[in-house]
Amino acid sequence: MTGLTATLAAFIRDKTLADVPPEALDKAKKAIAEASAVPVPSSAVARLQRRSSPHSSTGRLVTRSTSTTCCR
Amino acid sequence: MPAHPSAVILPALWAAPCHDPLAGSALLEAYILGVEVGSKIGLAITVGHYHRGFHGTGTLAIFAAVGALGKRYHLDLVTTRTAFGIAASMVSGLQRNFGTMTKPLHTGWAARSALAAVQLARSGVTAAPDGLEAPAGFFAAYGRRPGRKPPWSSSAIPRCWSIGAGAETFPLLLRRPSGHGWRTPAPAPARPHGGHPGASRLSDATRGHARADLLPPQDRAGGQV
Repeated sequence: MTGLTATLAAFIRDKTLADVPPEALDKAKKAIAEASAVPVPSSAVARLQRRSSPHSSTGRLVTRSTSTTCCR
Repeated sequence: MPAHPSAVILPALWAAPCHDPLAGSALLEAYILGVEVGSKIGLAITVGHYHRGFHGTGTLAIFAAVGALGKRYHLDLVTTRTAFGIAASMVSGLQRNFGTMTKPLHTGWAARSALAAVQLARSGVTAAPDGLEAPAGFFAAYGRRPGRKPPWSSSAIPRCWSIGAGAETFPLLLRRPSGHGWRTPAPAPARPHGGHPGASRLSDATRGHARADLLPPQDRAGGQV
């Protein structure tokens, strides 16, 4: 029986985009766009908030969002 | 997979030094394979791993990032297995720190550790080639309690693609085995990606703050917010 580590290593080596179902490609593109959408503007927002609030040394909104909307 | 794989995979890919530019197709390929690897490991170790108190984004998504980086660097089988073995000794993340600043650090640490594991493996550092399923490996230490039948053989991972077969984004990452095959909990307890709602909230909450007089001079001149 092939071990899990070897199976996953072979999976990574052998599979390409051509093997990916089309619907998975679409969802992956959206996921990458979504995952890229938050860090870039939120970093700018944190910088703006630091400038606008003398009591905030960090991006308060980002911190609050992480603690309340993210449970995993 | 009770975790946020993208938050670990993408920073690791973006930060990975490589002589080849990270083309869109390469990013997409590495990302998808990384998500699949993380999903398969998450399904194999079951949600019981999460219920034991581990933070899957730190303890599972690290392997997703290793998989993505393995594709990015076109690693051979031996090096990829070694990278998994190194990463197995680097996993971390406890739910006890939820609600503190340490929780999001799990995400960054996982990305950093994945990149370090792959670079160390490429440099010749040795590790167990069966670090996931070995008796004293990752699944034994972080999976089910001792004495339970091990679920981590290669036959335990699904052959089908997890990504893209669900209703929204990646709900299949949250699937768990049931007596009737694989099922998708509804509603999903957590969406791995909340970009759109998050961006909307950011926009609403910061309305009025993004004034030109708050911007540094270089940003005012460029008109960038």
